[in-house]
Amino acid sequence: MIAWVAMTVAGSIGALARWRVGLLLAPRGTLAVNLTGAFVAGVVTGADVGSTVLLIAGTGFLGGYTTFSTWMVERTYLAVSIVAGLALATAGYALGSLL
Amino acid sequence: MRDAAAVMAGGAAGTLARAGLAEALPVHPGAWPWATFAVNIVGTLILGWVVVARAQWRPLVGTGFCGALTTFSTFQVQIVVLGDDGHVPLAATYLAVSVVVGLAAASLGRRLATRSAAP
Repeated sequence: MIAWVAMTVAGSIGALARWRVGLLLAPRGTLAVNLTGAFVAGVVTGADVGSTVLLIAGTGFLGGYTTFSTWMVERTYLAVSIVAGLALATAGYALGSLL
Repeated sequence: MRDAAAVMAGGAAGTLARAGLAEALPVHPGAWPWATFAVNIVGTLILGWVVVARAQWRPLVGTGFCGALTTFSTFQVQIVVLGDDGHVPLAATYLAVSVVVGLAAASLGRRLATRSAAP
């Protein structure tokens, strides 16, 4: 129960961070949050952080921080997001597995 | 300030809805990630509609709710994990279908908004 409250709060902070990055780096905000978020998500998934931390940091913060819908509606950086996103998520996952 | 509060409120609701569906439809190793696929497509459809039909709702419903309901990080990690587990064809299919259906959902949302706005 407490973990779900923390996850929800983390998601709202992630959304706020995404909005701020979007204002700061327009029109590349979505690209920036998605690529950095994919890398960190790879790290926390690869590392054995436990289900509660994964729920709060992964499902909560990173889920709120990154976005699929804005990426699809903006229709920009489609190929770059896929190629760099997968490369960064793979690198993060490998790095996390070493931790 | 008002926009920040709207983004956070929408973000909380979107995160909760995504996590709730993920809990209801857990991902099985080597299987299609239905929960993430569903939130990503539905969220994209809603956002496509919002940006055209209700631009004033964008902070709460668009950036907040749809942005947090959908996820890029989990989507990418699911593809990496599927590939790592040896399910490369499924990983590639999941990636391609998500992007193609996602782009179609964004267009459909925009078209529905344009049609409803027409006299």
